[in-house]
Amino acid sequence: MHGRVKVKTSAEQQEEKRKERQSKLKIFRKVINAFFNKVSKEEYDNDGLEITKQILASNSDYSSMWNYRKKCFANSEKPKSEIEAMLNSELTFIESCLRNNPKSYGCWHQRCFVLLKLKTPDWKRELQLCNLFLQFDDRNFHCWDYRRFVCSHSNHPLKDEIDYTNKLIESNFSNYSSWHYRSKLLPEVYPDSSVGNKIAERKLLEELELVQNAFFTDPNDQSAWFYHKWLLGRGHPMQSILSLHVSRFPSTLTCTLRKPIKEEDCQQALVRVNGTVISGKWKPHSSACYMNTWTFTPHEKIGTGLISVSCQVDGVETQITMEIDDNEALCCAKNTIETFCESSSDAKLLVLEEELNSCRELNELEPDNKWVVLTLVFLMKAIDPIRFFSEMKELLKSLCIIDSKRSCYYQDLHSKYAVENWIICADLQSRKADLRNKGITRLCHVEFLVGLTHLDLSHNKLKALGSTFLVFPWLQELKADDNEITEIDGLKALPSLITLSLNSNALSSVELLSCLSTCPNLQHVSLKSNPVSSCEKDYFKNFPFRLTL
Amino acid sequence: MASGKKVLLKVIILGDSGVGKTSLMNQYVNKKFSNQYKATIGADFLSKDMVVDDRLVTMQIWDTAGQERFQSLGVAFYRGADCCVLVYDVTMPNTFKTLDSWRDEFLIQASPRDPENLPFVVIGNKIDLENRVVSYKRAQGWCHTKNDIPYFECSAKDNINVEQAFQTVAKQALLQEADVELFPDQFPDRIDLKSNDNKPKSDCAC
Amino acid sequence: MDEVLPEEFDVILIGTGLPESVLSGALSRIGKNVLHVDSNEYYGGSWASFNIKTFDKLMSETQMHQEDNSNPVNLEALISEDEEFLLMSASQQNLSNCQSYCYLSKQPDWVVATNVVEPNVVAEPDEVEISDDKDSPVDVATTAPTMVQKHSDTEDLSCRDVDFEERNNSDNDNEKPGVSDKQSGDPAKEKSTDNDSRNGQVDAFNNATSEEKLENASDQSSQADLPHKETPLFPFYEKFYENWRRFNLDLSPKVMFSRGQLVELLIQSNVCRYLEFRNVTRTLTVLSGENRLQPVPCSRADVFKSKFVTVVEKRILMRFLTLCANFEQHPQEYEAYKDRPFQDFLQSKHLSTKVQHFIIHSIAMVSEQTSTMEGLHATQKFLKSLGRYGSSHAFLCPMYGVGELPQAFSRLSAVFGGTFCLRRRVIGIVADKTSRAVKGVIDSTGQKIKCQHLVLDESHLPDICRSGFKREVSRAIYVTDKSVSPSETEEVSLITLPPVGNFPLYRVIEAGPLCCLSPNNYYVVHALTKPSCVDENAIVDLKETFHSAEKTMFAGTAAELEIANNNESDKQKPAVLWAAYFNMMSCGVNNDSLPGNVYVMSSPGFELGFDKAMNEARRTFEIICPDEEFLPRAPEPEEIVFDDEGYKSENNGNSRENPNEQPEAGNGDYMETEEDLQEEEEPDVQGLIDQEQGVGDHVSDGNGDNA
Repeated sequence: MHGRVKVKTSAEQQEEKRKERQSKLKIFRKVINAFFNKVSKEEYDNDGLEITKQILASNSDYSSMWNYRKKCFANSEKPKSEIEAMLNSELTFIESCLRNNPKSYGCWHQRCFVLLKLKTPDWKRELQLCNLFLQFDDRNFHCWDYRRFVCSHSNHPLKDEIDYTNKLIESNFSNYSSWHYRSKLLPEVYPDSSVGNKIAERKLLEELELVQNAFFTDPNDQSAWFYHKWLLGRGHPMQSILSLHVSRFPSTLTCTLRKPIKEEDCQQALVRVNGTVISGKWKPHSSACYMNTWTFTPHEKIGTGLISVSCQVDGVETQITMEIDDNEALCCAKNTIETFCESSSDAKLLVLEEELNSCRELNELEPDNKWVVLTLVFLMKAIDPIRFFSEMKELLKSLCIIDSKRSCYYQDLHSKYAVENWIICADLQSRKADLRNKGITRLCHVEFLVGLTHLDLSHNKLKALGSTFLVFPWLQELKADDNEITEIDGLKALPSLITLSLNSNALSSVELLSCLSTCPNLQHVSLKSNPVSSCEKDYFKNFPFRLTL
Repeated sequence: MASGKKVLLKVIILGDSGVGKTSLMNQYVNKKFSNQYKATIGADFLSKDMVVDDRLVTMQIWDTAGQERFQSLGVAFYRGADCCVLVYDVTMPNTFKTLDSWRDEFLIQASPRDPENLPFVVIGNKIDLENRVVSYKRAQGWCHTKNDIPYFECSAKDNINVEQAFQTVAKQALLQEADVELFPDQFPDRIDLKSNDNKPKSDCAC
Repeated sequence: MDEVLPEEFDVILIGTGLPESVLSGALSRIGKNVLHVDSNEYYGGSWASFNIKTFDKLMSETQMHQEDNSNPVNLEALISEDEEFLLMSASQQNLSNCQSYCYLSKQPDWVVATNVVEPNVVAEPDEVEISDDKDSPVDVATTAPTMVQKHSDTEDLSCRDVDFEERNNSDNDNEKPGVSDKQSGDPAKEKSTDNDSRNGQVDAFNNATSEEKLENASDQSSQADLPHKETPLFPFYEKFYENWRRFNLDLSPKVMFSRGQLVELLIQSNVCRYLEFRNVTRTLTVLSGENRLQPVPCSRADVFKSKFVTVVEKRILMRFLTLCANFEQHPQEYEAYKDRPFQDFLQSKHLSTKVQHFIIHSIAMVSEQTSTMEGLHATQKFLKSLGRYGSSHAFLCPMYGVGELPQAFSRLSAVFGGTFCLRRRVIGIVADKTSRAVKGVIDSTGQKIKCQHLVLDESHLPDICRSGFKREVSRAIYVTDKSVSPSETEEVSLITLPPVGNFPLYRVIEAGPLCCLSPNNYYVVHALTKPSCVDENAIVDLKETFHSAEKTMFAGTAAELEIANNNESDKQKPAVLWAAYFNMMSCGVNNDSLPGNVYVMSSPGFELGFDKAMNEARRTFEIICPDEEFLPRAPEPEEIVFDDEGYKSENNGNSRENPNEQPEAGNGDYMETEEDLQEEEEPDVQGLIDQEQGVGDHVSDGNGDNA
């Protein structure tokens, strides 16, 4: 008859495996003992290299062994050419370890060590190695890190790296790593030569098109949307003086900057009166390390008469003129749309408008996709935040429903845009702010509002008056009626506050009001229609202000 | 210790039916011998890991699976061979005579890039038997005329010279792989259905 | 010299095409005693792949009547009274209208002799003018393309063809055991022949390739400040055929769906260890009204990077594909279009004309009139395959051509004891007169071999079982000098050219060195179309049939382009260096006259994938062995026991002891169900008893035991 194949039974195979494992374990124990023996005797020699190789080949996470090897190379007294050869063979060894475990910290660190130690490192080869491992797994962050290490130590053109991210994105655009790397490379390779935007506009428009293709292909993929948001967002705003306030009595100068600075930087600032530098002391507005608002007290009082005061700080300068009769003067910078977003050429606006239209189409197709709606908002904001404001408001409202888990984020976003728009249009010089009925949940950009004497935040959705309120040195009247305020711990030591109105809020306990006692000039506090019960009236007797419940 | 990447060597073993191809493979890889002749059944290819010239290699030895019996080996059998082992039976002169045609067959079918240098190893098997007909001199002479093919006289039954013969086979085969590029630009494009099957990537961001 | 075959087998298979080979492997695998014969000297039948010389020969031979020169068999002595004999047709030809052409000019002798390169000379060697005047341009000869073999007049072979024939004959004379490919010459010998044919001066250049020679030549001429001589546009004929073995030209080119039955079977059975594959890397098509190939966005990555569709089209396409991926779960989406054409459904989904084209022709690969349901299923099939091997690829193709597949399954059969015998012709079937069942076959050596079952490929049907004969597929094969759409890296392309005017739909596969189908710098383009004319006797000019496809893809033949040297048009497009045309025939089966235990396997047909062939093999297997598993996993070599006892204890290796060795979960539904079944086969007896006694589930019971 016909022969048939006999196959080992599972028991036979298991037995074989068990024996194999046992003998492996035996070897492992022996080698580990030998290793510790070497370490304790501080013997860093070839023998030790061989021992550690045996373990690392199968377990590359044993970092003590890598460290031992580093010492071997560092302590070796062999001729340089021989060490160079040893290091090169170490690279081959690391590579074989990486093939087993491409995410081993030990391996990648060892590789960095070896390359820095080599006299003539072959960076090109290292880049190829990165290509290889990223092809295995394009999200291997060890390898991405190593790639950046390689690029920073070789003169590999960064433009080639952009091309490389192109390739990866083309094969799989759902990859944060590639997009992220791109966002790091572009500002370096295509810097903006003119207005301090993030990247050259020509490139920006190309990037917008690229990423648009990604989110139209798969609108549920976050990485593309994040990259898009990065593109639309502005670079860091340039430093500028938002407002300068001078007072003769008491003699102070208060300067508010767009970007916070440290005390050291502030002490460098120069204050001139009629062109003459005067000395004095800068103090921050609170104890934080970085501050926007700084107050200068001159050693000698600021004189009378028509004077011109200038302040030069952190590379920017502004000037203010005081009339003879004025005791104080405030100068606020003019704000435009560009205060809050990157400047756009006509060409860019055209592209953005086109993109807005295609996103509207996409929104029709996918009404429930939050990324589309959110991007519509970002686009409108980038094109013209004033013209589109009511539409943006509606979109953000719908986002609160589509993506209810993040409704607070959307509300805050709306608040930010509302305040920005107000700032763009407002006459800050008047020192009065009417921010009623804006649907605000959070007051942001307070650094623009520092000079205010009157602030009305009534009929909004504020939940708390927190530490952002600490910055109002001249605020006399604060109204925040008809909000949802439960906490007011930011209303502390406001030097000029006289009237505070918090009617129709959610303040529930008298203890919450204790901070108000630190406001020296507070005279009227109105707390009508709050849960605070009138039976606790006695508690307020000690307060120096009149309380209306 | 051998380092670097593992090399796979494909070795095919040719010769007339009954010369002991399967037995030689089996003796070399499994250290087993069966006296009872049966046309090759179940023998496909055997793998052996070994260290050659400080490199870790896996040698795959491919058997004819009996398809040589009616001269019916297909061209697919020869694809990508790194070395060819020609086997004859020292007691059967015919099996020696046909070595020429087996060699030609291999060169034609495997169509190696460099036919002049494609390595062969010749094994005269069954030297344990007493009725030897083909002399060592004659076989060695033939090998000499064919570009000095290494020649071994073996006995799969008594495990004579088998190890040495295959060590040479591996060395010869490795020469073919000598200049393998370290990082080829085109990464594994050849698809092995089992190992390349795209595993669903974990969604973890690391 | 023919060894005598054993006298009896469980199953005899005639023809080594893919379904027969799969069946052969499956039967041997479970222990059936199998004889597998083929009258050809190669494996694969209509599924085979050939090198280019063999292909040329095939194209010339198929029209000639094969002479049967074996001794007549005395049937009377072999057939008893209660038996009848069904004669098989002597010519089992399933190719027709074959022709092959090489459009390259032969290297003129004087090129080497005088170091002057003049590419424009297209001439037969005897027409070559040997010019000593280096400055006078040689007349541009207008010699017609060289036809390598023409079916109608085989007498009129050009001298170079005769040259081949001689070489082939000399090989044939030199009979060697085991040489299956007799057209192939000895490499060493061939070299010497080449050398001999050249004059003495040539020898100095023998070690350089002809390309190098040409470079040398042009270098020297420029050094001598001679008038500019252009380098030849195309390689010479000799250079082209130098690498003839490196071509693997399929008779029936096909691609594998990555989740198609064939792939699942290859994995499941372990046959994949004999093969290597490449991805089809792109899909191309031509939009109506255009004359330019463009990529079809199929995968997410393709859609993302496509520059040919707008972003909104991208979204709509992606939405549609997402729907198709699991359309069964959204019946409301297509209910109304169930019985209407797929195109109507696509329109209802607001897909642009362009995107509709992509889906119909390149993704679903159906026609406009296909029903919505069929279209949805076809699209889904494509999408299921997408991304299994490489994120944006849906198809695989075997390296070295489709002809490797039947050989791989044949090897499986051989490994499990199947007997293989090429070059063995079966002249007829012996059937029982009363039961009409086949009892065996008689081969051309006059041997009678018994069997329980007989499997034939279509071309081996006994004459009386045939009904009709029709052209099934019209084929063209081209060898070109570059890709139809050149790109940075080498691609493997699947191309659909939709019908235009009177021209039919063409399915095209292009691959090259990457798949080992051609030597470097050459590409193989396979074109298939369904014959427009049903009448088998009508003479169809195949060149005309493929005219439209050729116009779209190629700049022209090398011969045409050499003449029109200055024509700048279509520099991007490749030139055809070699071409072959033929029809694949198919015959109907007359089931009434076919004995019950005879199974007929169909020809490869027009189908792009392999599902039909796999289904056929599986169904036949289930009839022959109703209770056996189809192609269970073959054990790894390490699992096989080779000692003597092993053969006595008749373990057929069917059990799957090592589940860890299984392909990853998710490789196929088939595997998963199988595993589930295995678990159910071993019911937990204790659990059953417990249930009967109402003890409750055996988890708590187990806890009790521990306590």
